[in-house]
Amino acid sequence: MEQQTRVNSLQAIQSGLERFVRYPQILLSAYVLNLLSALLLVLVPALLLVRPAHYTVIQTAADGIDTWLVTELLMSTTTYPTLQDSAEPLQPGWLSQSLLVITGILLIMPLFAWLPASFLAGGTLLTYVEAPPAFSWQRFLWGCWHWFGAFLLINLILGIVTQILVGALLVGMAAASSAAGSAINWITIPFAALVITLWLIVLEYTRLLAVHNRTRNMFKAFGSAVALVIHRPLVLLGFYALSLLILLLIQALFRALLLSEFVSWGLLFLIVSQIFIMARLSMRLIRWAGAVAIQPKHASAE
Amino acid sequence: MHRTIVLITLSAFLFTACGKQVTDPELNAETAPEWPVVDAVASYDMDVTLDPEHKTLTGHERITYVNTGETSIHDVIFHLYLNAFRDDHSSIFMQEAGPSHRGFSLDTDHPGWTEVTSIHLEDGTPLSFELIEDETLGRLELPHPIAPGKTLILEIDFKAQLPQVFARTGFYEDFFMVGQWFPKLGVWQNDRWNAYPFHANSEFFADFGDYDVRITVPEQYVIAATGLPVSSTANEDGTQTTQFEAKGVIDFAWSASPHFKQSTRKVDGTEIVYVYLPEHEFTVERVLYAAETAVSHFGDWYGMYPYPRLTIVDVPDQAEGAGGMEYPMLVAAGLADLTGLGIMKGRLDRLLETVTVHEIAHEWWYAVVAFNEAEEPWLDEGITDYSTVRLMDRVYGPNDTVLQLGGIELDYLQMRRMEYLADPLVPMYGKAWDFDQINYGIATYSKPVLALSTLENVVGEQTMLEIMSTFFEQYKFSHPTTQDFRSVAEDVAGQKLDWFFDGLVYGDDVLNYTVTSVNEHSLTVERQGELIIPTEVEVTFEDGTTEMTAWDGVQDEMTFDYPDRASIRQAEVDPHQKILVDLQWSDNGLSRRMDVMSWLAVSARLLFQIQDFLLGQGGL
Repeated sequence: MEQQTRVNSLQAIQSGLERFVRYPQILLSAYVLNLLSALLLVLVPALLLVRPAHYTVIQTAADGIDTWLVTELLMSTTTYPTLQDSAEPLQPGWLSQSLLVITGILLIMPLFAWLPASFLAGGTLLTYVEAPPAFSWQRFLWGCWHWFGAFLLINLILGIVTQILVGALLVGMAAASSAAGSAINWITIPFAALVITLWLIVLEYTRLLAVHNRTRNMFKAFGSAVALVIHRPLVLLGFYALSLLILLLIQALFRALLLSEFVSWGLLFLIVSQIFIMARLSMRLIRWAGAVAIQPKHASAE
Repeated sequence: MHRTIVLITLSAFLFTACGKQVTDPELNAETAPEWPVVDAVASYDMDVTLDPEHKTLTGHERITYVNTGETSIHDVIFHLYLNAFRDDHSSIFMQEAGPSHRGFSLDTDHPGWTEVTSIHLEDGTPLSFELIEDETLGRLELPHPIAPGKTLILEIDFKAQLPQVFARTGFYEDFFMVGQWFPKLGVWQNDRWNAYPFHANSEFFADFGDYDVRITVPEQYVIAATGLPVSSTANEDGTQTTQFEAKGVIDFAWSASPHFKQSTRKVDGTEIVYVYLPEHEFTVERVLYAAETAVSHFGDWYGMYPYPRLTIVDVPDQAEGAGGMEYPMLVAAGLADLTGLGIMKGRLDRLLETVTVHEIAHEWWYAVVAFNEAEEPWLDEGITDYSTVRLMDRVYGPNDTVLQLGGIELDYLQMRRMEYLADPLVPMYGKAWDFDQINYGIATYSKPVLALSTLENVVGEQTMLEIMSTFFEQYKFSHPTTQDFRSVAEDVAGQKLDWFFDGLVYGDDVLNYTVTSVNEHSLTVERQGELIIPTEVEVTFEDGTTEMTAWDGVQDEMTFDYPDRASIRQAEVDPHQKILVDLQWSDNGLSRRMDVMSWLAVSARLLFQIQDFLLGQGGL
């Protein structure tokens, strides 16, 4: 029987913060990978925008996308043929091109999200679990490579299961609401939120326990994660609620900043938005590092 | 025409206490209400009893009809709208609808129909009656023609089965929305009956008249109806009979539920009564505020609301098909909550307000100025929706009249523009059944809203208000056509409006203005498409000065020269986006040089959005 650590939610956050601060290289890796992935994706649309940058609409877009521009972008597939039929061919077909590019990017974006995340997760968790006195790039990269395939697989499988679970919950809620009236939503919505939260905790702990137990058997890790959630639900819920609260505060601060004229200038927006990305990444890593403190103490090496 | 309207002060007789039932006549008896003076053509004296268990109506009507035409009438055509819902396939309505209306299907276990059980003249002479077309019309041969100026009195007994709420009418559990429920005469126009079978896209058309209706329901039920309650009697069998009176109206609808509560407000001499279900208590302030501002603003813009009362009926979440509908002196509000689950309670959206305002606008543009909704639906829905957009913009702000969710805002006008851009080649003019369901929406709502808003921007706000108020004043309590509207609009504006009527109403013309080149001291603008709307070109020079030049748009290409000015920095045609039917605003302005800083700013925003998305999707 594995012994459980006796930390509460706040202590887990504190522990996570300590480990996060001890290994800034992880934040740097995560940020660079996120930035490079995004730069790769933004390259084509940015080049496509060179020609429209002669149109004054670019000034509007620079201050934030207005509804009318989104409307035109979305409807360009119908207005463009209309004009082709009724007038001289249009000079700027860039709206339609942009729509095509955006659709393409949206299609490949999940890939760009999952690949780096699946790669970094192994090394990140290994470093936080082992907590070495000094950060080792060699050990970090070994961890990344060792669990890369397994994490890709588990992300794929559990991702699909998550979709099914969320779909089933939505259908159930709609059916309950239809049968018993809207008042039932006060019960079904919190219940669904709880189920989804617990499920997401299980997903996160599946990866963590795989590293902790030095195993690539994801089903075994999944079983351990379920057992942990059953044994310590309150501490886990408290921990994740605290993490969520901090994240929401960061989001609120950033959104409030966005509303001010202060960040409407392009360069300043770039700086502020990158700080926000760093803050989001930091919070994510603090959560992972803190989760280590709640999981079982003794590892069973592969 | 019916020019003389006596507007009234009603404080003495109208309900003043919240919580009183709509059918409570006690507070209603101090002084007689004054009604608009309207020549009654088709008046109805009716008794109807609701059987809530079997969802049926048993009724008797006495129709008093005056032949206001110039020729004798030999037969009578009347509508039996509920017969469209006998099943899901046999009526024209069902065949056109496919068979769903506003996304709701007919429950074939709970169909609807009307059966005329007897029909005779005032003196008891029985009349032969036949169902025609798809049985949504009835025809009877008269033993003696009605000469011009003479009156016909018909006595009709009927039964009606209400469907489970479908296409605006019916029941949901113990809630009843009773619309288009009685045999109703067509309109005698140009020596013929203007009465069509019930088409899926079509709404209604009827003559003005006076209604005296006695409704019998179980005593625990609360009734909301067209008109004013004038008496109520408790019957020995556990039912109550409430008498409603309405004068100078084109229809009569009512709703009943044992759960109804009510709240009232008075504005400009009109009592606004909101009848709502207890689970929608949170909508009371929102609906009443929307109604109050609508009655007040439309009164200022077009002319005073001529009736003593306006009733707004709430509908259950599960009976949304009964909502969003207009009747004289009564409207059915829309969905109380965007989710339909009663979760958000409308905190993020203004659909409830929008629908309420829209239906109230119909009181001016349907109930008073009574268009033929079957033949010219664009007038009815288009002018109404234009009024809705106008009011929502001014009362709630122009940018977020539909949705306000974080940084995402959606306003009603942009929503309509999106719909228009889906198929801009649809003419606005046409009979309701000339369009499929999607094009009907574009032709009668989206395109007219944009066209009328563009017209307002071109002729100016004051002129537009004068056009609309003149049109209302000239044609209230009558049935104007598109040509009547054109005549008023061109007279008041003092100019031909061919681009509006020939190009947009009757035609399929489209327009895209664009700046095609900007040189140091000249620029070229282009009109793509056949629609010609006068506009302006704004030029910004390198020294920071600007110049606005009018362009009539007649030539499809035009070059403007500025030899004595500083170098041109940029030029923009229609810089204030006044022409809402322009297919692409995004190509309206062109700079001489690429705007690198803006390009960088847009790229930075894109980069951030992608980073944020990657973070959300990935584990990191």
